[in-house]
Amino acid sequence: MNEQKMIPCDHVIAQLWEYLDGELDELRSQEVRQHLERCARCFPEHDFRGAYLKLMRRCSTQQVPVELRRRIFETVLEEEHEAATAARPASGTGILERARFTLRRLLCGD
Amino acid sequence: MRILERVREQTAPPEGGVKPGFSDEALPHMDAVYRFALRLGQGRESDAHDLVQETFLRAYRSWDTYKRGTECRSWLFTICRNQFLKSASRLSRTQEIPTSQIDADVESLAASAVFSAVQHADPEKEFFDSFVDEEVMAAIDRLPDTFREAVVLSDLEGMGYPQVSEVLGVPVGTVKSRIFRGRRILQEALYEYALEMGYVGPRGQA
Repeated sequence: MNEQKMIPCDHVIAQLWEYLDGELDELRSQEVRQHLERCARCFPEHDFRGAYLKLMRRCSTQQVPVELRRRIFETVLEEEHEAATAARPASGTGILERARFTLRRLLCGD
Repeated sequence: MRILERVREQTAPPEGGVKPGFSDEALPHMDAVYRFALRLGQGRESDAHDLVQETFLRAYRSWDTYKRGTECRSWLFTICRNQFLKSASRLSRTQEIPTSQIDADVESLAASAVFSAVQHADPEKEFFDSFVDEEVMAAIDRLPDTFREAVVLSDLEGMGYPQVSEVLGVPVGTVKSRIFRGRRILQEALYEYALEMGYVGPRGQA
């Protein structure tokens, strides 16, 4: 068993968030890990904070409502239309019409 | 639902009408920007809708300034946040917290009162399992602005400290102290709530 000197508990607690966030370099991360493997006081705290982070991840699942997604597509197309007509009054519209058509089809599930 | 699925799958608008790269790089982050906008506005749905729409409009207009190959999500979050601050400043946004009050080293050593309380009250160690998403979001929405945005980017969106630092425009040390403090406030709020709801017993009475 490798019996090198362990870093003290308060050093571990001070670095615990960074350890869990994967922001420590390899050496410091290893020091914390080795301590946690043997310390009955720090390990539960590690688990507790880990459970917090897991909960936060689990909650991060909301998706853009379809209506808003549609609005954003339309906003972008609108913007493109304005840019196209400002730059080339005649030629931009063909592309735009095609785009609109495809978008409508898409949104209508046709 | 079929329509819904199709709209979701097809995040890219039709070819030919959009600035190169915009649909591939920016639009896939719509969900993340929406979540961020929702939390910035403390859950107000219609504000978030306007903010996300405005963000993508601005992103589209300034797409030429986006450095290809850098993280597009960070870029979009930055636009979204700037936009939010612009509208929020009209409603007198809370003042920045002096840095002396939030030191990362002090914060990381701060006693985790919730942990010791929960250890007594919840020997099964399932404290965090008792919350549903809405309860967590409501607790996040009550965090002060400064901590809320740091916690959301880090914990909900999984960004590293350097990325959060980029979006918030503050040094990494400040980011860390805000995240750590925010987490502590949030855990305390969740604990208070859990006590109220009877998810856990008071200290010493499991």
